[in-house]
Amino acid sequence: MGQRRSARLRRWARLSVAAAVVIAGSTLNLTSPAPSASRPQAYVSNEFAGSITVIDAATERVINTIPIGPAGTARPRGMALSPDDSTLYVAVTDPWPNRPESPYKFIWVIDAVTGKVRAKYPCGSDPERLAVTPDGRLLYCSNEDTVTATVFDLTTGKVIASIPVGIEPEGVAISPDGRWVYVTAETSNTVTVIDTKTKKPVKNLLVGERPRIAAFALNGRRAYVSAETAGTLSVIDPTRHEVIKTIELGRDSKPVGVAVAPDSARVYVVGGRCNCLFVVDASRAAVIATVTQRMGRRPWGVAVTADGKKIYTANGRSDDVSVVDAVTLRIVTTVKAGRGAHSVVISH
Amino acid sequence: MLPMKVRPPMAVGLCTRRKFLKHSAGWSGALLGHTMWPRLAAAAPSKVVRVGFIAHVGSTQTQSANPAALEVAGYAGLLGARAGAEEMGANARLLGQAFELVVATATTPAGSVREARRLVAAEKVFAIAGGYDTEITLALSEFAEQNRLVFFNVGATSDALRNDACHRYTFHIEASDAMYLDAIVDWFTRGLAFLVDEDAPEGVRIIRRTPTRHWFLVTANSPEWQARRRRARAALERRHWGGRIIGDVVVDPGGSHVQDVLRAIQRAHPDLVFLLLRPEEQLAFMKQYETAGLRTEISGFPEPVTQTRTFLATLLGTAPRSANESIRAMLWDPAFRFAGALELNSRFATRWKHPMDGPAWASWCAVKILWETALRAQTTDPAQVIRYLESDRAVLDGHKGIVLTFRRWDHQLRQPLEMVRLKKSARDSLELAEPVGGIPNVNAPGRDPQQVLDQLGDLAQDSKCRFSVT
Repeated sequence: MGQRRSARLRRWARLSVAAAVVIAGSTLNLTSPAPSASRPQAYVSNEFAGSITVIDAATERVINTIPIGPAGTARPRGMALSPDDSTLYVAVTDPWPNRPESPYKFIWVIDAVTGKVRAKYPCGSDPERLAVTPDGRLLYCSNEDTVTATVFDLTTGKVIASIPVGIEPEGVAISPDGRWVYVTAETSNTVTVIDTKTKKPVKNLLVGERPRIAAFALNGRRAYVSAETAGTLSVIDPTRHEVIKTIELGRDSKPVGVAVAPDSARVYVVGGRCNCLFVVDASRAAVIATVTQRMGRRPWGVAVTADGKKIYTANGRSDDVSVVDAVTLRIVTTVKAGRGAHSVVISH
Repeated sequence: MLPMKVRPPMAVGLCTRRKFLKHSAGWSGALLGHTMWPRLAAAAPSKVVRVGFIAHVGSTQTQSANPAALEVAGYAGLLGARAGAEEMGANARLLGQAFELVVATATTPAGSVREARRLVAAEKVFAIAGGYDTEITLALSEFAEQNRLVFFNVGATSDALRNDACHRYTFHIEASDAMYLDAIVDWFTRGLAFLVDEDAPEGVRIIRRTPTRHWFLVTANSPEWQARRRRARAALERRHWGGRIIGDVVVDPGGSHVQDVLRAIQRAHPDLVFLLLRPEEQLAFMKQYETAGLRTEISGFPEPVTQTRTFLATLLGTAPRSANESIRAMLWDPAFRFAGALELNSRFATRWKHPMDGPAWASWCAVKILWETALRAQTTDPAQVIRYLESDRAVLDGHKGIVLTFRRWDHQLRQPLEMVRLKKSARDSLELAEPVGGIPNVNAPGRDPQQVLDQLGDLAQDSKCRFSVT
């Protein structure tokens, strides 16, 4: 009885928040986002289903599916949340790289609570992944079919810079202090370091073959870059922008997604070919565990909850999400997502 | 036995050609460097890494009018090498270094060696890529060995070059006869294939077909083609049980007994007719096959020329009924979409207004590997480069979805091959062939990539390669 009542209360609370957001939404502009969801939510981009699956991170239940476009045509990939978790930014593409006129190749701006699409921002050609500065004012995206990263001003709704990077850029990460942006390039095997003050590249680092995702530790002392073909994780000192160690994950691993625990003590890397989750001890820069049992197929995306207790992996060939307990390192549940689960982000 | 064709030496004077090449390379590099990949202000090259490329084209560097000519592969290869040079040049600039490709043209063994000598002496290249038939490739391989120069073969498939005629300074980007034949036999005898196709409703397309058990081989009358015939037989009878050769004839090109061969095929009722014929002979045979109204599935050995859209369009025009839906093996195809292939194919088509055919990929990949070797090994000393390429440190990425490495015993690049199905209803050249699966399956988890890729071609115990230089 009590449980039913508390469930009713939770539902009422959710509806109240949603209603408030809908009402407020009509008067909101792009710079004053809606309040965030009451509980942590995981957002999973489904590249081949053309949708976003929203999971309640407390109950591990799917609470919404946000349509982006036709399956196989609209392809949502990289995502980022605004610092206040109110807005979800999604990089969307389509299957035709040579067709610049596309209704999909934008950064889609989605209300994180209601799931409504608020706007579509141009962010250069064919945006693939993105990151938002800690102050929530700027968005950096990689342009896969050119050799640029684009800077979009979220307060004015305008592109303010196009920055040269390596060939086939992909991963984008912003340092916790907002000073540096790292952009990987899959063909160049490089990470371009961008100074956010000048919006110019200051250095290019050579990393492993086919670098995919870059992620900073929240303490700002390390950054990590996965290399899919090399099967490595490069450990970078962001004060010098230098690779200080390369961790071998195995040539058969194909690592893509990288996430750092909130306390910066652990790094989680998913291997798309080994169907596994590597757990890296940040202080030793060494793999301390590998999760394989019950792992979904081709995990590419990974994210950690704000309390550091759970890890979510987006599994592209089994179209689901594996939820891993960060203490026991066991999969506690598997949540069905859409086809081609690509990336996952989790609100606070 | 038919004599090998000897092509006349080039008529254009070296001086004029050199000037033309120098200027054209300079223009393309300058245009790219200033429009697509701006230099970083802080980057100042300390040393220029130079690689030579010997293109199998005439001095005008244009596409041949003959769709079966070696120059068709040579032209695609030239574009691929230039694409590689532009991309690796941009990569070098990102890291404050410099990379240049110096292009020469030659279509004979003697001319190729002459150009190789010039590239080494005048242009100071540390490595050369080229080779589009066995004789030219052998001549360049011997030159490289004598002059301690790294040579990348980008267009010759002959197993002889990987066995009795192997050389330690030579590395093979192009797949071997053995690899192609193993892939083809594997595809046809299995009778079931699946294609990881992320656009398909379930992410994977299952391609079912009746297993091809009964083969009819039609082979050209030359030692090289007879060697391929023996390897095809070995692939069928030793490696892939279940396949059986029920017809095996040798033909002379243009010979009047083709009608006899067609009648023999009709009598034998094979599942597949497989042509071990030169590209121009494949076209001629297919025309007569079509005219005779035979319905048995037919395919041919994938010489690099036959992997070009130019050849495939001619094949479908020559024998639309017989070639339509036929399966062919490819080193690379412009319709590939996996593991960065979509982006690479797209970049190439946009830049060069030409599809990235197999020969284009081979030379692009050769240039990429040579630059990355100089970068990663931090040397252009040929002996050290060889040691690096033979070592486990050499992690090579050719956008094929799996790490590529060279076999130590014969310097063959381990790589998957892809099968395509031809389509006469294509709206454009890209649609002339559609990918229908890779051999071996590089997406299967849990195995070492070298073991996966060593399913194709000859293993060390079968190799006759004995490097004379240690």
